[in-house]
Amino acid sequence: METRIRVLTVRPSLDGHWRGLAVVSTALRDAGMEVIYGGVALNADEITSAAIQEDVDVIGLSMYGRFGIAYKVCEMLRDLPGRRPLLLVGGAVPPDEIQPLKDSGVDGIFVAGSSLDSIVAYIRAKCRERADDAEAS
Amino acid sequence: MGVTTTSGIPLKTVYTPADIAELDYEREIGDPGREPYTRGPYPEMYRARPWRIFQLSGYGLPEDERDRIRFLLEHGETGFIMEPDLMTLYGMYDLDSPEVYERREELGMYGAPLLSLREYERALEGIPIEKLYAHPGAATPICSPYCHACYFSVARNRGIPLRELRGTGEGDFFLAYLATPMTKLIPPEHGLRLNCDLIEFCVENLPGWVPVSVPGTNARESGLNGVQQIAVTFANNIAYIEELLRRGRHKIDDFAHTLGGVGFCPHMDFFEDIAIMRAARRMWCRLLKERYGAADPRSTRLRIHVNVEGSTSTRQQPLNNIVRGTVGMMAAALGGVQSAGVTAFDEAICIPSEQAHIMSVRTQQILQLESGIANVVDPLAGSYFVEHLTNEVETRAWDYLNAIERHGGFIAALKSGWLHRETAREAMAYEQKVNRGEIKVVGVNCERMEEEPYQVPVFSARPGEEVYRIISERLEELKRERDPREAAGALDNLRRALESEENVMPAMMRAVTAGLTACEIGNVERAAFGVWEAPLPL
Repeated sequence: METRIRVLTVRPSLDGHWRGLAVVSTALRDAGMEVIYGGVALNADEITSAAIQEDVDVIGLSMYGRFGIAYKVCEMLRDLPGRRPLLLVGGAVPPDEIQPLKDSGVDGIFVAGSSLDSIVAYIRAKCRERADDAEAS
Repeated sequence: MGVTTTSGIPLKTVYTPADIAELDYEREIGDPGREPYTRGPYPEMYRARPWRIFQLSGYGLPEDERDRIRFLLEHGETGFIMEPDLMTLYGMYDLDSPEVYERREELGMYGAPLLSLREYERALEGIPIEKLYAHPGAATPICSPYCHACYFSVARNRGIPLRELRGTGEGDFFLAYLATPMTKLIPPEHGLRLNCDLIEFCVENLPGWVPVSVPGTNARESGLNGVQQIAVTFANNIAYIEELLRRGRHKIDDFAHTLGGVGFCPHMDFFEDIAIMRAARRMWCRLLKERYGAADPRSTRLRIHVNVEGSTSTRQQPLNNIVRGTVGMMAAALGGVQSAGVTAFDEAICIPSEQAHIMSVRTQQILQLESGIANVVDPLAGSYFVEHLTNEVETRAWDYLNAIERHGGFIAALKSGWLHRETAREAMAYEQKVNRGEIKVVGVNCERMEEEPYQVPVFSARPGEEVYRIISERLEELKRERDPREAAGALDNLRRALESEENVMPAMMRAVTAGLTACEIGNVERAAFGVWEAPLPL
């Protein structure tokens, strides 16, 4: 049996919108994943240590407009020994922010209007890929 | 499953006289300007007074916000809405608190940080507030008394009597507690107290002011459907009415008009959006007369502001949002409104550019001046479909209001998390319909394109770090220059007012005049009331 995929979700901005995160969390749970909500206004180090503590496969950040904290999480994950969780960013991401975020190590970016199916499918595929790689090595 | 409205009301293919056979014109519709106000609060509606063009505006520094407001006013906006910074002013957080400092790049993203009376003076410089209807950014319960005190103080310093000011506040529970809850909120029952203080202050001093205009808009944008939007709006107003009656200083007809200006949000469901406004007016009239014995027409006629749909805007093919804004604004115009804002077409991407913002104004002007839509009052009255749908909306909205009351009323339903769970469930139900393609969204789940067909300039506000640095310097300067004894005295005085049952507004006016900052005032409010975290089902 496959182990359940564990996802940590956080609203790092002080913008408190949560509608997007609510629907994504529900979709991930409906798809059989375990979703752990980390909280609002967490800083990069708090997000990273929560991810380690909860031993998650995926970190999902719901963000609006400016992304300094996502870049900091990227840096911290880079220095992490061992398995690195997937890092996803969703929300209002300006078009010219997408490439820099990817270059810094954000694995997936899901802008407003992304379908729930596409998010679930992406996480499943990536987690399977990683499991296969781990087995092969 | 058959065809339904977005609120789930089943729709037939065609409607006939049989669908409105029971309708009694005098009792349930009535002429415009007459009970139960289904057709509109005023007899002549737009012929006598076009709806107010009232757009949200603000970002960057207070002077950036001022420039955008002036720009919109020059191009035909007929009132103005100040947008406060979400990071600081919504929560009245300290600039050097760890939460804010770590996110200083976000400062000025959602509005200008109007953190002292001096910043309000900067934001309002050159704007003739004695002539204009205004919303001074009083968006949440914690900041509403402060924002109003600043705006009123600017007027007083200009020699404008408070009695002559016209405008509106929100002190919005939906924004603060339901739609965008941040951390360390003041508990809802204390938010209620602050709003009721403001209402009593305005009843006595500012006859032209609507101190609390409940924006059901923000409940709907969070996920609740159109019918639920009416019910939560009125449930919130009932909480104010009950508290004001409990206090016993004023009778229902002294203050009901200050609550009878509400906000709704069309949602790309043309006829239901029209029916919502017609049904809401009839419900308000019945509620105020039957439950509270109101007799003054000012108490029983509901006035409506609409904000045309941010959550139906799409990031994909963004110029399509101009059409969505037009459709929503047409529904609003036909439903009967006193004031409106149209979401800028680029808001799914960035803070509105000047180009996008002016389009929101032009959309409204074209409808008012060119389309003929404003010539005849409530032109859809008597339509088999629209009258039937108005009845359906009303019946279901009463049912939902009853459900809220079964959960202990508005404050209890909010505090227990019931309202948050309802909101999340509705948001998910909507999203699943979009996901399955049952609700079509052009450019998103159908008619997609690999390459964006329209190039939209992405507006970028002044960097947040710069806003942070300048505002920090200004607050330091203010603290150096203010009279320390008066500042300490005013803060003590405010603390006493908050801890007692006296009206907080006189102490708040003194506090902002003494140069206390929003953050200092917020800290005193939190110390007096404690803090509360929203029970989000995440």
